[in-house]
Amino acid sequence: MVKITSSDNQEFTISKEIANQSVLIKNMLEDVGESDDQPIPLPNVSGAILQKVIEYATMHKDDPPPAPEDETKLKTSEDIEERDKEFMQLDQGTMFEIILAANYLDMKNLLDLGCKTVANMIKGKSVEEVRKLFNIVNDFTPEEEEQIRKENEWCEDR
Amino acid sequence: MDFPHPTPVTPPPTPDVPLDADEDILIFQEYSNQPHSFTSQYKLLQESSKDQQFDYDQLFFEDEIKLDFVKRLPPEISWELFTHLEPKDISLCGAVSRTWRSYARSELLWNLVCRRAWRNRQFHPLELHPLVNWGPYNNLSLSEILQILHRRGVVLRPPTVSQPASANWPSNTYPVSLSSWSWGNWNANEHNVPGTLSTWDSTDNVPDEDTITTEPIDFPTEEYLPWLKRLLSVTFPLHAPPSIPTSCGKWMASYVAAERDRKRTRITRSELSSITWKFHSGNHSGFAEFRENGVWTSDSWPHYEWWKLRRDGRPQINFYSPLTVHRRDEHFDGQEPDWGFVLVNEFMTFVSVDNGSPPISLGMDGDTPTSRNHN
Repeated sequence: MVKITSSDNQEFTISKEIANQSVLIKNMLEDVGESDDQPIPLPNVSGAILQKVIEYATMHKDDPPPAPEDETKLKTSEDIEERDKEFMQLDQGTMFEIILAANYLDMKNLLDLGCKTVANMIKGKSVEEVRKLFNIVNDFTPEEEEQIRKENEWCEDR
Repeated sequence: MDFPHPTPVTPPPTPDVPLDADEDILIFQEYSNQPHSFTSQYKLLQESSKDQQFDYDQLFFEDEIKLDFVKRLPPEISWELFTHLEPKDISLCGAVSRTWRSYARSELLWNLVCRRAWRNRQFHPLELHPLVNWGPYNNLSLSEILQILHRRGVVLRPPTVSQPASANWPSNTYPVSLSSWSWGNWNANEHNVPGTLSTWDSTDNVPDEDTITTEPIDFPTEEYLPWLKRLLSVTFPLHAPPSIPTSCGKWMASYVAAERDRKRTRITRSELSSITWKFHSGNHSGFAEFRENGVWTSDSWPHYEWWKLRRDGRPQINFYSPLTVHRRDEHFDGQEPDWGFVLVNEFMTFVSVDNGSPPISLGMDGDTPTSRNHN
């Protein structure tokens, strides 16, 4: 078993196979060796988020190792597993922090899932809808807007 | 109002807020920028809780929370996010805000889009598209310019001893030959090109062997760039599809040009004659050729026929009905889409089996500027 502590000093005890899904923790464990019983501090992740991350890692502990990536293959964001979809039904604040945590902990699958989920929120939406979804203020001048509108004319092709 | 030409974003620009700051505070800043009652609420709370440890995490239970992921995430993750989007979504995202635009118009991202879209596609090598009006672009490399000219059918020949190269325009001594079909479609007058270009039909005007120097000459080199750029402007094909943006990066422009081009329902003379065709008609089946000299032949057909390209861009063999031009896109026959050509009438079917040989023809033979008709 491995002990980890969050930024707000919550301690979690997890199995090694779960811990190893984070490349960061995996490397740390390799560095300190088996014998050390000290908890691993994770000062960038809060307890609440760490809880969610562990939940995800537990869910995926039996996954086969990921296939080597082909960059030119279109990453379809439709291929999200049902259980992952459910897992990502979160408010934007939590989703944001989970993505950051996945990046920090070096958990590629979770980071991918986060990116895909956000991408799915954007897909098929109009510019106005995207701004509304993420509360973004339009900071273009009218002239720039006109130019961009022309750039996007092809999107109306059918 | 001109945007500077999008500079390659590798990696994308760092957001204006340092990301190593406390993320929770970042989220809050995002929030407080917005006209939202929450802000005032929070300020009140902040006032009242000055003396005590205030946990603003408790405020994040609302599902109303909205934050600009692209602006707030580390640049490399934001970039990753855009790689999960379809080209049209990426294009539209460029209109959301300045930060979004810096990702959604990055050369690197659109280069990736092209690499994905054009793999296994006939007629679309990973090159800048010749149907874009490259005039306004100042960031093309020598090799990119040469590639585009090549695909527009411009043949550059090294300077000769009797015809030394001149970097000045116009000049009838500069070493270029144009095949006649492409010349016909150029908009030379519009560009006010004085002087004449040496056009060259088949082998007629090829210079004598002895005037061609055998010394290896470094050509074309960077010093010819101004002239090559000029050539790029004049050789913009009149029949390029409309509204291909030039205010975006070169790869996005190329992608849009390719998307528009593959909707065309006409074929060009040089495409027809350079492609190897698989032919099928009743119990005849084999390979066929549309030869440049107007002769049509197939290994499974008893005799030669003549062919012509009609003004509407459809080929016709003898007096059989004209062949309709289709592209093998994602809607075609459930086959892997490769954007190859299929020519059909009620009697014959032709399927392109290779890419033809470059240069890929761009002029719409049989068409005239006035009859251009795009959908």
